[in-house]
Amino acid sequence: MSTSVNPIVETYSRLAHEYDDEANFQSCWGRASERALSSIHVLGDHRLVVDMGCGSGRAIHALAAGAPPHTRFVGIDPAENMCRVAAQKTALQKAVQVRQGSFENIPLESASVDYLYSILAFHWVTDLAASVAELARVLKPNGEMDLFFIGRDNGREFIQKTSAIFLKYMGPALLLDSARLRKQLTRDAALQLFSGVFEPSCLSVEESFRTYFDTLEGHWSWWVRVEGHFVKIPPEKKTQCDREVRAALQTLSEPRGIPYTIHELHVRVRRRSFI
Amino acid sequence: MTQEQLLQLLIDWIKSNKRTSNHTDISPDTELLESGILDSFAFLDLILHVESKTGLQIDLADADPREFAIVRGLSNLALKSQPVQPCPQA
Repeated sequence: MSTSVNPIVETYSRLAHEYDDEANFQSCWGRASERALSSIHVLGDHRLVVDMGCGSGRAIHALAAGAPPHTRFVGIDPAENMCRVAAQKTALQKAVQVRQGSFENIPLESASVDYLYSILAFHWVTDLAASVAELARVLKPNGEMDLFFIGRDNGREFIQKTSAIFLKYMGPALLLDSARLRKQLTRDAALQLFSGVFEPSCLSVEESFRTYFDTLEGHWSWWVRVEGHFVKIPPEKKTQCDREVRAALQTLSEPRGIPYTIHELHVRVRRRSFI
Repeated sequence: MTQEQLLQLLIDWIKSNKRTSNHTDISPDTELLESGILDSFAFLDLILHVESKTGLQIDLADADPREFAIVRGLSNLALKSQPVQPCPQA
């Protein structure tokens, strides 16, 4: 993500101090993040580990706490206030640094990173090709990587229920501008993108569809994460728009709750060399 | 390009790229967004497709939301659009 004016970065920065609220942690996104985190393992030969889009520092704080003493961690995020929160959270962990930066402009030396991971952040990039090139630049030739991000069919239940409402309140131009803010790839498109830079024999792209059920209020607690899309809705219309969106989401309700299906892509790079 | 040709271009693309597996007949009067036939990402792709096939640049700034999501409305919007201007020579 660019660190210049970007409504997504601004929204995340504004919400940084409430990002670790219990409601957010318990939401489908909190649960998906924990699931991704549980699959990440820092190994003994990882000297420098990087968390791209580290947000409030929850993952880097947890991983650094259990890592070997010689492993250094760098968390990178474009949102200034997220960096502040992450730095405060890891202040007592001498092995952890937090820096402001983005996928398109990673503030690290070339070929310096042993292991890089990212949890549900890569879909916010503004330039896919530049971001993948940066990832390849900073990884050591034998560096490893795990990127978790949302795919093309993410949240399809909500999208079908709410798109017509957003069209009414935003108009076609803003609605499509909003869609352009997210880079939601199919598995094939992700494979093609990363294959252009990483050796295919060391690269894999897995996808999953997991449906999470929650109450309307539970889902609404994470809706703040996508608020950046809707900042151009005039305030006097926003209240009415929110009311209609909530009513539409409520119609999805079933005995287990309101479903939301996360389409997740997992790009994995293991011991590799550049093409 | 005539309106009939443009409608057919739209309908053919939508049939090949619709987001729902339901058997849905696509006609000029089909609503695309609320029905789940297309989502906003697919609309982006559809507009790029029409622009590349027609050489038109579709201006969404003043588009009527009620017409935009209907095949015929989208066709009318495209027909009102201007051809892409070539870059001036340096």
